[in-house]
Amino acid sequence: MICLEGPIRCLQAIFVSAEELGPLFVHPGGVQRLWLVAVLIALPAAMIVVAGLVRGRLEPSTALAGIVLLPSFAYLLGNIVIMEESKSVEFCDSCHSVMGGVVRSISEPNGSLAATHFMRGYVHPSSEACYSCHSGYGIWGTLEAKRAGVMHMLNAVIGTYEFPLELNGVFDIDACLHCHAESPPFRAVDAHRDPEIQAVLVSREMSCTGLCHPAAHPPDALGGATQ
Amino acid sequence: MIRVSCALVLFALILLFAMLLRTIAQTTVPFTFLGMPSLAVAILVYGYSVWRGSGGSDPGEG
Repeated sequence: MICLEGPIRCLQAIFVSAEELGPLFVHPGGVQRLWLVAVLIALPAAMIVVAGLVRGRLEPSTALAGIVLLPSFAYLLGNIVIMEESKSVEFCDSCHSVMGGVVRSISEPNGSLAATHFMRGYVHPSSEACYSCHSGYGIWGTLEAKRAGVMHMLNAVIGTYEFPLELNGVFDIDACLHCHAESPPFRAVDAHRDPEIQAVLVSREMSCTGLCHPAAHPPDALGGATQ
Repeated sequence: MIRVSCALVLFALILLFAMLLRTIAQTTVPFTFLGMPSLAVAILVYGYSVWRGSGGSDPGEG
């Protein structure tokens, strides 16, 4: 277990590409080379529009390809790439001043729920640990996570984040239940079978963390990377 | 009009290159908020020029 060798090494292992670790760690499928296809499609489009800029005219078929078809296809592929890449912990950490503290904390033995899950390898895949817990269940959960993510990125760029970071709204416990609901140890706990507790959980009046389970992230990690 | 379309597409493609070659959140923001609208406007301008019958060349260039 790499994580037993220390939190820093544990986090480094997530940021190291699978190819560097060896063929055992390479996940099948994915979009590893799709970015290259998008670049190869965008390149001739760039050459066509540069020619159009210089000459002031283009053949109709060339203009259609260079202005409409090739750029649109390149952007479509680019969107697919970014949709996949933005799931990674490394991508979240790229807004370092905002997310740096939280990302570091998940690989430290601080007793928080996120660190407990991450360091024991309970979140699959570990390289997408943030996304796994912060996206709701099903396609609507994915869409909502992407919508929220775009606003997070915008806020990070224009500097409107306020510290300490606070959860915007109620945490979607479907992300927890997605893994735990069918787990025998989870089902065996009396509190989880209590109808009253189930009612307040289902109605989102109460979340898993706070009252019964430790906070998802330690308070000192929510002040940004510089604090 | 063709130059305007080409300039907007070039701007959109530069943002796309930046995003694809260095996938970090800060490069994704201009890609999302500037690149795609630029491409959409470029296509609209080009479509308008085709509809006006000058698609493919600027006045005095064809």
